[in-house]
Amino acid sequence: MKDLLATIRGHFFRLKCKIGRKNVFIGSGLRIYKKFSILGDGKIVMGKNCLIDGMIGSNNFVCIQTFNSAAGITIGDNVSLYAARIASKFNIVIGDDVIIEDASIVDTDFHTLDRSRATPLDENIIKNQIIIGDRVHIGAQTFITKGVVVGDDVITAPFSVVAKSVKPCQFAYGNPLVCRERGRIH
Amino acid sequence: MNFVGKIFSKFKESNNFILELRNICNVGIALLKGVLYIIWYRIFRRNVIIKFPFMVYAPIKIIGNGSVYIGKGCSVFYSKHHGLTIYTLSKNAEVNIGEGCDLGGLTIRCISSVNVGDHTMTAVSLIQDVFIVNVPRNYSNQSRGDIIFSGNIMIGRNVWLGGQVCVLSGSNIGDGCVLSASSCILDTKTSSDCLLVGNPVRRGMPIKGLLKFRGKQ
Repeated sequence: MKDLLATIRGHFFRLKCKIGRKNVFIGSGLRIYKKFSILGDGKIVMGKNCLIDGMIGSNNFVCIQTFNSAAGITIGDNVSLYAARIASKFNIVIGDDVIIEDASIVDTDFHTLDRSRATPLDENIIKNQIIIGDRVHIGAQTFITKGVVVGDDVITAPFSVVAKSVKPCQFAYGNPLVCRERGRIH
Repeated sequence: MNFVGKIFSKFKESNNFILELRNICNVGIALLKGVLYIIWYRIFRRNVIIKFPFMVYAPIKIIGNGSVYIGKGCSVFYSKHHGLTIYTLSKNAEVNIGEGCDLGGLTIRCISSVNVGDHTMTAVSLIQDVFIVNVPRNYSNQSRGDIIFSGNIMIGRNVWLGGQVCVLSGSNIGDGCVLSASSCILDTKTSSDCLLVGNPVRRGMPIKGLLKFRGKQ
């Protein structure tokens, strides 16, 4: 019963985007179990068979946001988002078969370090864009910062801060980040 | 009967009569709520067992069909979102909480087993048995079987978990330990009476040696 309601809600959401929002493109087979909000006027592309849900037992929901019209977020096929928060000023690319739960992905600093707190001038697409590979699993309450490339088949443990690039087939945890070969801990 | 004695001793000491009366009313309401929770779970959810003196100041949630046991004399306090949430992912999951625990804002997500000792205190913190919670729900694919693996969690007696602490799979915390705020422990075994700091925790500092952290006497 819940699955049927989720598919119906997904169809309605796609229809709403086709009529009202010209900047959002969503593939077929979307399922929405909990609240889903898209903010901003940047280009957002989602693949087929995506799943959107919250973590069981908490009130958080999925939120995708772009800060200007030049920003872009592309999400691959079979991606499942559980209470994830994705905010982009430049570009974010997420691959296929990715699971993200209760994590936040942001590709800007928003302000400079000095007292004026102005918008930083030295940021650009090449420096700041985030690329996440296929079959990546991101644990609860991790934070992914600007300019990071995460390879394929990576697992990040809960409560870690990913501030540097991770090679493929690794297990990453902690703050500052520690990377190990996968299969050593589990 | 220990609770009644505590209440009467407080009543004799205090000067402000109305304020003490209000406190006693709050305690009574919490006890009544606890009794209602115990009856509810006894009738509708046979896998959950809660022993009698159970003080509920904040709403609790127990989800899933694994077995849950909460010892006598526990109390749940108010926090950011909920008082206590326990989510068991499979039928074989076991959650055991000992006697006299003070649980404020604790969330437990369990797939194999979690043991919490007697007289532990928790702030807003997370005990998670498995790295990715929602994998077993979606994928029965054999190639991803290694993600589902998890290790048991053991927490000793008189442990104090600080704010925003994360206890992950395979960790074994000794008696009398203190976990510092926003630290994370993963796949390590610690000795007893230690202060544990860091993300992830490397090794414990014995509390006897730390003179500067001792309070004024």
